[in-house]
Amino acid sequence: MNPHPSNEEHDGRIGALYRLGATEEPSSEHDAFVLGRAASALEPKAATRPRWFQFRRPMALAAVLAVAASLYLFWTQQTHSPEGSMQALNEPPPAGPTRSAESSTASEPRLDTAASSAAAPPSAAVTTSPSPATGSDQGSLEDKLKARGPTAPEQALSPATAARAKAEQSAGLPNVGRKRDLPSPARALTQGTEEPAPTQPPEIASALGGARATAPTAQAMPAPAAPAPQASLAMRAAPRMAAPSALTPAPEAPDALARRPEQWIEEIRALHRLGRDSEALASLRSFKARYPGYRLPEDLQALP
Amino acid sequence: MTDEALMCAYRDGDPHAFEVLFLRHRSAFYRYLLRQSSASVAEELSQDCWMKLIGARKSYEVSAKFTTWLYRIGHNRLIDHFRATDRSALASYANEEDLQAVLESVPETAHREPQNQLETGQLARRLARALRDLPASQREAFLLQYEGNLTVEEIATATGVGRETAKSRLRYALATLRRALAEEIP
Repeated sequence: MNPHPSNEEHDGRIGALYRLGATEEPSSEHDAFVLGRAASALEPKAATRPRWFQFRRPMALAAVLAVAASLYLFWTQQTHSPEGSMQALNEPPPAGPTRSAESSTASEPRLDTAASSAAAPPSAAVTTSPSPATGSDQGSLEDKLKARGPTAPEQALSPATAARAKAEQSAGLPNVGRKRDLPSPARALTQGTEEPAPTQPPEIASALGGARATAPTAQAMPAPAAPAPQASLAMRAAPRMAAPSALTPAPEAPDALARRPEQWIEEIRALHRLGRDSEALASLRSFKARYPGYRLPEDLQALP
Repeated sequence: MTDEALMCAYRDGDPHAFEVLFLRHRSAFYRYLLRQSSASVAEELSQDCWMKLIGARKSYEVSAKFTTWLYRIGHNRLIDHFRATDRSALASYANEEDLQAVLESVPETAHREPQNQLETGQLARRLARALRDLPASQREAFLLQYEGNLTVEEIATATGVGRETAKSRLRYALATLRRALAEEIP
C-alpha cells in the first residue's frame, strides 16, 4: 500500500523544504531524564506491603495485652472462684478398691457425706494437716496412729473396721479423730485443700468438742487407696499458693495458712486444761511468733 | 530491529532496547510537539509522553505501529494542553469543514526548483511561518506525516478521526502551504 497516494496528500518538495528547517533537538536534560526513568522503571521494586502492615507494632502490642489479660482473668477465676473449688471438691473420685467399703455413700456429694453420713468410712477424714503447735508431738502422734490400728486401705477391706467407724459416729465422736487412719502420703497430698483441722490426740479433739465438729472440713475426701486422683483434686481445689506446700508438707506453713487465731487459742486452752503446759507454752510461743500483734486472752496471758 | 520489537524487548526488561527506540524517535517527536507549542512546553509535554509510554510498557502488545501509538499519546497530551491554555487551537479541530472554501480558492502552484541555497533557506523559513499559521488540526496532520512518517490511516488512528477527515486535513494543509510558497516562488 502506498502511504502517499497522491500529490494532494503528499508533496515531496514541501517535505524537503520542511526538513531543511527541522533541526531542533530536545535538550540533553530531557534525554537524561527520560532514559533514567526508563532504566529505573525496570529495577525490581521492594515488595509492596499491605496497608495494615504499618500498624503491625500496635496490633502486636494489643494482641499481647489481650492474651495477658485473658490469662490473668482465667487465673483469677480459677484460683479465687468458690464455685471452682467446690466443683473440684464435689467431683466424684475415681472408683478404687476402698470404695467397696463405702458403697452406700459413693454417689453422694463428698461434703454432705462428711458432715452427716454415719456410713462414711474412717478413711474419708483425710483433710487435716499437722499442727505446728503439736509439731513436737508429731513423731509420737505418728506412733500412736500406727499403734491404734490398720491403715485406711486395710480398714476398707475389713468389715470390722467399718463397723467400728459406725460405732464411733453414733457415739458422737468428731470426725477429726479418724483422720489418723490415713497414711501419711495421702494426708500430705490433701493438705491445704480444706479448712484447717489440726491433728490432735483424741483427748484434745474431744475436749475441743463441737467447735471442731462445726468446722467445714471436707472430711469425705477420697479414700487413700487412690492417691493420684486425690492429688489431682487437691491441686485443682487448693489456692495456688497452698498447692506446693500441700505436696511437700512443712511443719508449720500449712497449719499457719489454715488455722484461725481463735481456733489456735482454743487449742492452747485445751492443752492447758489437760495439764500439758509444756505443749501449751510451745504452741503459745508459736502463736505469738505468728501473730505478734494479737491481743491474747487474760487466761493465756497468765501462762508463764 | 523494528520499533515494535524494541518495545517488546524493553517490556521484557531490556533497558538498552528502550534507549535505541528513544534515540530513534526523540527528535521528530519533540519537533512534532514544538511546532504546536513552545520550546519549554514541548520538552515538558515530550517528557510526559515518554513517561506515559514507559508506564504502559507492561501492557504493550503489538497491535499497531509503535509510532502510531507514540503520536497518539502525543496528540492526547496536546489536546489536554490546549484545553488548559489555548481554546482557539482546540476550536480549529471542530471547524475544519469551513476551510473547504479556502482550499478551493488556493491556486495550484507550479513546481519549480529553487535557484540556489539562499533561496532554499528563504523558502524553508517561509514554510515554517506558513506552517505556524495553519489551523492546529491541519498542522498536526502535516507534522504527523512529515515528522512521524505516518500514513493517512495512521494519522487518522493517532488523532482519533476517520480516514477521510485525516485526508482532508492533509489536503488543506498542503494547499495552504503551497499557496504561501507560491508567493515566494513565482
